[in-house]
Amino acid sequence: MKPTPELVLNQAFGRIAFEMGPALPAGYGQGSAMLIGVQLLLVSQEFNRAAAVRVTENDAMRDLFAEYCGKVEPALRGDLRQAADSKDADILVSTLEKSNAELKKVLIRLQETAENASDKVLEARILAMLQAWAAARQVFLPAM
Amino acid sequence: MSVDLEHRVVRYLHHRLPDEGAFSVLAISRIHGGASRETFRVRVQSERGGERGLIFRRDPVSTLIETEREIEFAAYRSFQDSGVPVPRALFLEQGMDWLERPFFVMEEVEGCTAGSILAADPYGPHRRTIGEQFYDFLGQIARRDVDSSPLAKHIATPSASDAWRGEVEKWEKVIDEDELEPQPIVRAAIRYLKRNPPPPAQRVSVVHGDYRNGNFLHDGQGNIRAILDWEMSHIGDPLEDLGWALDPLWSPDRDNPGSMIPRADAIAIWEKASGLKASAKALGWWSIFAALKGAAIWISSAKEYQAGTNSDPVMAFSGLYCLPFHNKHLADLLVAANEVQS
Repeated sequence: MKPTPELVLNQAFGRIAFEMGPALPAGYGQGSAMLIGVQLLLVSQEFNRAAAVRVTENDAMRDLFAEYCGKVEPALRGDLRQAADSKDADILVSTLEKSNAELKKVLIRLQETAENASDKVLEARILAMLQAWAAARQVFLPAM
Repeated sequence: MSVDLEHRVVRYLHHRLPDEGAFSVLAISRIHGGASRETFRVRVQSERGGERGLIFRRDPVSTLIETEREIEFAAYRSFQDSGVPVPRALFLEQGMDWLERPFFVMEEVEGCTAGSILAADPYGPHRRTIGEQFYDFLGQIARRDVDSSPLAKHIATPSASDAWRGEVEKWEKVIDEDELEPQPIVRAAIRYLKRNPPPPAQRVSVVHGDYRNGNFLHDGQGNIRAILDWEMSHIGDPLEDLGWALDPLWSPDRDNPGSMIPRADAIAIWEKASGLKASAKALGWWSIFAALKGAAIWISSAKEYQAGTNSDPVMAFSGLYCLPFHNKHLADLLVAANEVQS
């Protein structure tokens, strides 16, 4: 798509935050307009990477579950295997998000199991994964 | 605010202050900011009372944080005429008759402005003096006798050893009810906080609940004139407020929380004013809690926006920016805490 969505959203942010917003009377309307402008910028940061971020997370969770499904208690084993074998039906962000949510439910259980078993290696590994994913999902405010 | 609501304000003020004769509204505007209440600045004139500024805080249809307005009103009253500057709280109305929803009225603190978490340097050359007052007032809030405060009539006082537990459970419940997608970092934080409780509170005191950059008014000359937004106030461990005030979300300047003064200076001022100690262990726990509480609020606001029950842009901003920020910050804190334990 040209112009790229990022460019369009960036330009819209600039117009709203630096031209239209300041032209409004100070108060609720102006504050809301400025915030809406900032939101366009934040969405522009998410747009291009959204699918990649979710595919990366989903693949990493499936790999971890495949590795650990033979090492956990039977109650969790089946769910880990099923999650490890699951596939994303397509690469629409909404589809990836749905898979991501299902996989994270299992991840939370695995993490809790690691904590209860004092498995510091697995605990640290999951935390490191979560930290990296959280960094990848951050958005950044403009200097204003 | 519509003409109808303007008329309602006039009618209400005449009812409340009949000795002042007829009222007229000179100006009325909604203030941008927190989404827990709709806040209106109202300039009024009465026949015998003259001209003055009032603030109306009305319950919204849907809110970012569900709080009781009588608690907020009582919190303002708890610090009326104290060393902590607050606007004078005038009237509380629990009914729907006057402004369609419950509300309370305060005197406007005029000629002041609030900082913004979006601003790189909201206090300019006054950041030092503003910061000193900010943490000194927070220490004074911690020092205030709880039992004699109006707030104590409305909410329970937890024991020193259990103050943390009630807060964790309160925000866990919010997350349970409002999360739209699984939150592994947030859940890990909850488990960590429960497994590693903080030391008992040195004193159980009034906790402002949202004490931060942006929630006070200053006069542009280096003077804080009013501490605002007491809607999350409760009674608990005063370190909760310190952890919240020092949270990095409130400023892009990581070396100076809230774009004011360095963290070590802030803690020293707070300790002197409160007469309490902020040990690394206790403050570390309350810092993780602060990020968790933030995440809970942002999860809740994102749900409201997604569900269409509140389309205020601040609700969307909370989900778009604040939640990812606190997720990352929580993950960093948990990784660090895990390394220390290992």
